[in-house]
Amino acid sequence: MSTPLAAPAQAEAAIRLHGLKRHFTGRGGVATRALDGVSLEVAPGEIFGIVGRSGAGKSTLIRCVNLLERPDEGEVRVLGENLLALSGTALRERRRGIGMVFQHFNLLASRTVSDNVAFPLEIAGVPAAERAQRVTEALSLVGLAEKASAYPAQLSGGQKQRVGIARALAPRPRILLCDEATSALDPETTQEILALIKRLRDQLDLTVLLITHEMAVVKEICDRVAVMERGRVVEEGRVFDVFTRPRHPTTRRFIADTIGHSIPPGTVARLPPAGPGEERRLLQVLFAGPHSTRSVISEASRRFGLDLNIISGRIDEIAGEPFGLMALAAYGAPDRIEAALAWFAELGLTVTPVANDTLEAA
Amino acid sequence: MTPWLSPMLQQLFIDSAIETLIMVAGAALVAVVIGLPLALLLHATAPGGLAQNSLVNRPLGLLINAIRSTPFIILMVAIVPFTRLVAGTSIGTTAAIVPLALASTAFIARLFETAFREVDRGVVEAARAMGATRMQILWKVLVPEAMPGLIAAVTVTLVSLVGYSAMAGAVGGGGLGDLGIRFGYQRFMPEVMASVVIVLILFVQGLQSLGDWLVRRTRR
Repeated sequence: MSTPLAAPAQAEAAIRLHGLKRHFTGRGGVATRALDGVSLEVAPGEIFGIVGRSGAGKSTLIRCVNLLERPDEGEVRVLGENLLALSGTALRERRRGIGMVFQHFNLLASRTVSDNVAFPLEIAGVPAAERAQRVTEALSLVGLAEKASAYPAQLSGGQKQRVGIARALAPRPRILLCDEATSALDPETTQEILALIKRLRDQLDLTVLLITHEMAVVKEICDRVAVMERGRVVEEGRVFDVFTRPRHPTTRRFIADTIGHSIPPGTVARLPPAGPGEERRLLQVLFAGPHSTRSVISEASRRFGLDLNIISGRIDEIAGEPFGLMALAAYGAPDRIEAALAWFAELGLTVTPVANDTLEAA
Repeated sequence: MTPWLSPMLQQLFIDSAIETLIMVAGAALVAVVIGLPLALLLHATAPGGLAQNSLVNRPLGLLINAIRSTPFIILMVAIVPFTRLVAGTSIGTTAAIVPLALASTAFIARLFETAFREVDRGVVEAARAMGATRMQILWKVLVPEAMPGLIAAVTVTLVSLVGYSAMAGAVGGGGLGDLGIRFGYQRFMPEVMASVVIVLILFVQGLQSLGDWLVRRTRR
C-alpha cells in the first residue's frame, strides 16, 4: 500500500465527486434538490469535512460515495474507479473497501460486540479463524478488547461508536465515511472519538470523509472543509483559511457559532456612548499569522485618532495553527473608523462587525 | 368416590387433547415455514423496501387480507376442494390442519411483517454499506434482529390456533373444543365442558409463558 507521502504530487484523488445531482420527490410531487451540482475531491490520507445545516444535502452527498444513494447525474470515483459503472456484485465488493460510521451507531442488537465487528467479514466470506484474529485486532485498535462479549445495549454511546468504528475498519478499508459520527455524543466523548479517528487515520493511512453540522468537529480534526447549503458547496478550502478568512455568509455564521464572540447585551449597555460627531462600533478582529496584536491596536489608535477599547480577547488554534480573536469598541469620526478598517484589511486582518451592535443601535 | 369423568370419557378426553395438539402444532409449523418467507417478501417489496415492487406487494397483501377477513368457519368450508387436493380427504384431523394452516399463515405473515418493520432501518443501511447482498440482509440482519418480535408473533398465532381448532369439529377434526360442544353442551355434561375449558386455559397459559420467556431470552 502506498502512503500519501510517497505518492506523486498529482496523485489521483481518493474520492472524486463530479457534478452530482439528486432530487427527491416529496408528498404532493414537490421536488427537492438534495444535491444541485456538487463537485469535490478528497486527497488520499486527508480528513475532509463537509459541514452544513440539516437539509443542506450533506447526508445525501456522503451516501453517494458508496452509492447507498444513487445520484441522478454526475460521477462518483473512489480510488480512481467509476462506481456508477459497476455491476451489483462488483459494487458490493468495492463497498467492503469503504468503511462507514453512523450517527446512531447502527449496531446489531442481537449480536455481541465481537460478532458485530465480525459481521462485515462474515458477509465477505472471510474464514472463521482469520475473522477472529481480525476482530481482536480491530477491537484493540479502538481500545475495546475487554468488551468483546458484551451486547451493544450494555455499552455507553462512546463505546458503541468505538464498536461502530472497529466494525468499519475490520475489512481493512482505505476509506472511512463518517455520517455525523459524533452528533449523538456528549462533548467529552466527542473529543475522544475525534481523537480516535485522527489517530486511526495516521496509523492506518486512511482517507476520511466526514459530514457534520458542528464547525467544532471540523476545527478539531479536518484538513480541508466544504460548506454546503441547499444542495451546493458554497465554500471550500483548508480549514485554517476557511476559519480565518471566510467568504460566504453561511460560513461566517457557522464560524461565529464556534469561535465567534458575542458580547453580552449587559456589557454593551455599560459601554460609554459615542461623543458628539463620533460613532461607536463594535468590531471583531481576527489575527492570523505574524501580527503583533498590541502594536496593531495601538498603532491604529495613534494613526487614526481613535479610541480603541478592548472588550475581550483570546488565542485559539485551528489545525495546529494559532490565531487571535479580539472584540473592540472603536470610538471616533465615521470616516476615521472606515480608514482604520481599510488599514486593518491591508494588513490582512479579518474585521467583522459584532452582530449585537446592530441590535443595540436599532 | 366416583371419578369426575367416566373412564370412557377420560379416554375420549385424552384423544381429543392429542387431536388439538396435532392440529395446533401442524398448522403452526406450516404457518411459520410458509409465513416467514412470505413476510420477508412482503417487507422487501414494500415501498422503500430492499426490492421495492408493487406488482408483487399489492396482490400479496390483498390475498393475505382476504384470507384474514374471511370468518374461519366459512373459510374452512369454502376451501374444501383445496383441502381434498392437499390432504386427500376433507374430513378428520389431518383435513382440519389445511384450513387452520391457511388462516394462520396469513395471520402470522402480517405479524412477522410488522416485526420486520420494527427493525431499525439504520442497521439495514449499515449492512448495505458493508456490501451485504439482499439475501444476507434478510437472513443475517432482519431475521435475527426481529427475533423477539417473531417469537411473540408465533406465540400469538399458537394461542389463536387453539381457539380456531375448536371450530374444526365442523369438518370432523375432533379436538377438545369439539368434545366440549358435543358432550358438554349438546349432552348437558357440564363437567366435560368445565374440564375442556380448564385444560384449554392451562394450555394457553403455558404457551404464553413459554413465549414470553423466549422473548425475554432473545431480547438484548
